[in-house]
Amino acid sequence: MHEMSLAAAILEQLEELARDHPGKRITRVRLAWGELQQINEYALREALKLITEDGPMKGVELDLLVEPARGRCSDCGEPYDLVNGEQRCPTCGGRQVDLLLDKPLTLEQIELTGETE
Amino acid sequence: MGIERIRVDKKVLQSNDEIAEANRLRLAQLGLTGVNLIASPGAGKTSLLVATLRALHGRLRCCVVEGDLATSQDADRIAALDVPVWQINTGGACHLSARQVADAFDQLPLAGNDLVLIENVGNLVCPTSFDLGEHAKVALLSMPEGDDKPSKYPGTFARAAAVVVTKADLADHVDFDLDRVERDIRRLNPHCRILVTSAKTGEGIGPWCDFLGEQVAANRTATDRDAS
Repeated sequence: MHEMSLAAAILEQLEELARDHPGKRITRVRLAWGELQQINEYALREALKLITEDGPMKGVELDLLVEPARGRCSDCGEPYDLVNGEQRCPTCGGRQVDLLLDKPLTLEQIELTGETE
Repeated sequence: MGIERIRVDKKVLQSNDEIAEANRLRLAQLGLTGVNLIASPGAGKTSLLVATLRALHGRLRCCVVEGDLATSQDADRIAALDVPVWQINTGGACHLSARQVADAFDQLPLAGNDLVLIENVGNLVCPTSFDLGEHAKVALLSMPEGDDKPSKYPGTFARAAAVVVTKADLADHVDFDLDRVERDIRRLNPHCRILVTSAKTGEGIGPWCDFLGEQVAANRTATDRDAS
């Protein structure tokens, strides 16, 4: 359940962004991560809901995007996306892959409205 | 009232990663190599550490950071070997953070050592996301846990410089297909070192210690190269 730690780190960044935009309210947040990050989407959503419940971000809309990891085929060297953790090179059918990129949990975008309640 | 959209693109664990980077630099400046041991509860992390520290005695100077939810039982086992150790109690958190490890480094006599072994909280999922400033992650997998773990926890095994299979003395009592484990690990991590060990019989402890020695030597070479 490291999702609660992650939610706390997200809240910290959101509060900092809110301070930079006085008089506005964060209403929507987009987060993305690679599928090998072992982050549970449901647990993160629940943790964020719980942690924002008593503050100005209560009810914030969450767009959570899980992105495929990217690897390079160990046999033919072609890079490709690993969808659902399945590794099979579309070029040569090779099953081994060097991991090139698995996106760390990233706060990508926020939306703010001018009204404060 | 209009909606303002702002592109942020910031890593959520940025502040953890910055502290981890500072930890790594601190170790490098002292000529130390850090290894982060990740495994399920009961995989035999502390028993492997005890066997390792005994085998490395007189060869590499080690210190240890222990991470657990509660108690100092693990640290007591290490301290009994006269090895410097600092116990972190996370009080429920399922992983170590770079900040906790930085605080532990403040408490340890780091200077004069070659290797700091960090035993993470028993958990095959969460510790993987938190960089501690180590030079290598090592995943442990005990034979009784089952040979399906690398395919079920790909993120952990994909990031490990080595996988240590533990409790090999139980091989005759459990159905553990080592070929399957090797195949599943190599699919996502072709260059991973796979070492089969038993802390009880001493099997494989030599090659595992050789691996740690290689990590220390490689890290020293890299640090010297950066310095020149």
